[in-house]
Amino acid sequence: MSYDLQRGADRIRLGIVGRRPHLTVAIDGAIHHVEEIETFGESFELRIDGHVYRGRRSLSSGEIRIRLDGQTFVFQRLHGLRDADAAGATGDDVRSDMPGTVVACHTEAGAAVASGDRLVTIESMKLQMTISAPRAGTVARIHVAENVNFERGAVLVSLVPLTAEKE
Amino acid sequence: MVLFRKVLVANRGEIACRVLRTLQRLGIASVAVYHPEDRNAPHVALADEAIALRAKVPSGAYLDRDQIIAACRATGAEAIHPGYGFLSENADFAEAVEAAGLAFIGPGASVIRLMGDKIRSREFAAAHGVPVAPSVTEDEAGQDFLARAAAIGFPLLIKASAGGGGKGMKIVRTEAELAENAALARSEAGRYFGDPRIFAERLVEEPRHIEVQVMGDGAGTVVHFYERECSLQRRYQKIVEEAPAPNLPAALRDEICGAAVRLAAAADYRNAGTVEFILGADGLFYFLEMNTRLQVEHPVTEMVTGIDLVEEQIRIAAGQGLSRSQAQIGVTGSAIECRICAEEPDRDFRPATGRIDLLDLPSGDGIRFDGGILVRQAVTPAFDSMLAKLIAHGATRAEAVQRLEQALVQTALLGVPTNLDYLLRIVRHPAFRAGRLHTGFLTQYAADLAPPPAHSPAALAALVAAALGDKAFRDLAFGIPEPHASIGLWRN
Repeated sequence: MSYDLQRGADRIRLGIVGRRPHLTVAIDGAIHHVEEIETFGESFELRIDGHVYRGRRSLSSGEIRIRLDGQTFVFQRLHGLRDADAAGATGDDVRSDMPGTVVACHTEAGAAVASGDRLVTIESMKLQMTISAPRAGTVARIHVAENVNFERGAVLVSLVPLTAEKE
Repeated sequence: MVLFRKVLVANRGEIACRVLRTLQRLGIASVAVYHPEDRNAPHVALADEAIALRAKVPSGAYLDRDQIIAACRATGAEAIHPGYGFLSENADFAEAVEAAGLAFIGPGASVIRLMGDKIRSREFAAAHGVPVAPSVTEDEAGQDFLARAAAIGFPLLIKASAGGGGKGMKIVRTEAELAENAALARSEAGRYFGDPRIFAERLVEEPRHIEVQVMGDGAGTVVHFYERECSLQRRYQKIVEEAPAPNLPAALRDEICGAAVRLAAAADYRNAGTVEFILGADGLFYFLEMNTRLQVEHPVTEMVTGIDLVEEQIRIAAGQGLSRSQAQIGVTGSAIECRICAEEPDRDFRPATGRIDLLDLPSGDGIRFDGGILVRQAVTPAFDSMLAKLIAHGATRAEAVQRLEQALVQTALLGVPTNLDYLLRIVRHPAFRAGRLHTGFLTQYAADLAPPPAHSPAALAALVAAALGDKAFRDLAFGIPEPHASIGLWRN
């Protein structure tokens, strides 16, 4: 059983190896022992392989952000996680990695798209670029409209697999 | 002592909040102005009254002279504090404020005009015995400019006369590059500032940026509040500033502060100003420009002198003069400021936007946090990317550095990318700790200041903490959904 998170360009997999007496996870081929000491609001305290870590955590629809040891870490949530704003989408959200404005939409909800098909054209910092489908699928929802501003990390288009049924 | 009964603050963000706090402490009623997009901003909540200004774009509101003066009339405010940026160095505004029978908390319009013109201000400085870098100014004879510039010797720096912020600035290392760079600088100057005039000066390699805080009563008396070092800059904008300048010989400090006072006194300067210099490794220093307003980095001076500069500004504008003589102004310890900005240092300092969803402010001995931000606040591209300033004071520079480091670790700001991690890497750098600063510091040590490798114990802990914050992971990890486990965590 495994769970994936994205950090920057890297996809990181956590394999769940054991649950008792404490959680054991495999990351990058190494086994780590995890105990949750305390979780209170946005604060957490963990013991990992005997070392204690205290930090702060915030969650938004697409990201999980951690502040720990004077460092900030941002993770993108991936497959199998439902987006609060896009109930029905089964992951595969197409996002923009910078804030901008939608110049044109090239597809519509329900349309089938092939990998590489143009989805939307955006403008950010006076630069236009086209966002293409990362793989074949059906457009579940377009979250933006022409001339609408969006922020970095915003979901632009949600795709569902051509053959998959909605959850 | 009656200063003013009511003062309007024509600004927003951290500086508006900072000015409002002094007004509150002095028992002066305050008026904020705001664009409707800022209606929930802290400066609006902090002021006794707030007046909405109409404008198509949010920044336009804070630049609208007529509406701001009308807001004074409507509320009975007697004076305007312009903060920094926006209208603070707009001579026409200062004039309009005084013509309306109000006090402008700043210098007179003619001094703002003089110091706002790079060429005229340099000539003024040179005429009053303040050192200026060898330079030539472009006049009608364009060809002659190149020959005269080459005669100064290389490397040269070409700048826009009306410029600032590094725009239209070119470094020329050989005579072969001169004509082309001059043409480029001229065209950029015309495009950015509507004024194509340029000038060339001797480039000081690895210079330090040293500036002096001055205050004049407008009646001939000028005092200084010692110097600040602002050498750490990215894209020609300061991000870490301190007072006093580390490793500056006492005789040189006196000479630089003396030159600043001489310049301000010659201009019959009234209110707060900052005279900026570049200092070469050879100990020679040259006048850069004078900023006729309160600076972003003024808190480091307040921390080491124990004097509220905004209070001094208000006293002077109210005709009460300076509260103390030069002999009564001293420096205790060391103070360092970091500018916390919504930007991505690892992506060429690209400005970032978002919504603040977690904010932990630092506290502790010698710590000051000047902010104007709240949880849930949207950070939009409409305004400057600076969110707040963190300032640490210590009995020694080492103590200030250590307190600043601790406070940076304590601070958390999530929801919008910031330079917090980058600032901490600067503060931990051995060359910073040693006080070996120059304006190319961040470029020279760019490799050291890059993000740490993704595989570290902290990165692993963050990953696990992130997973544990997600209900989907918890459902997998703990087998059965735990109804209570998701409280305070992710909810579907």
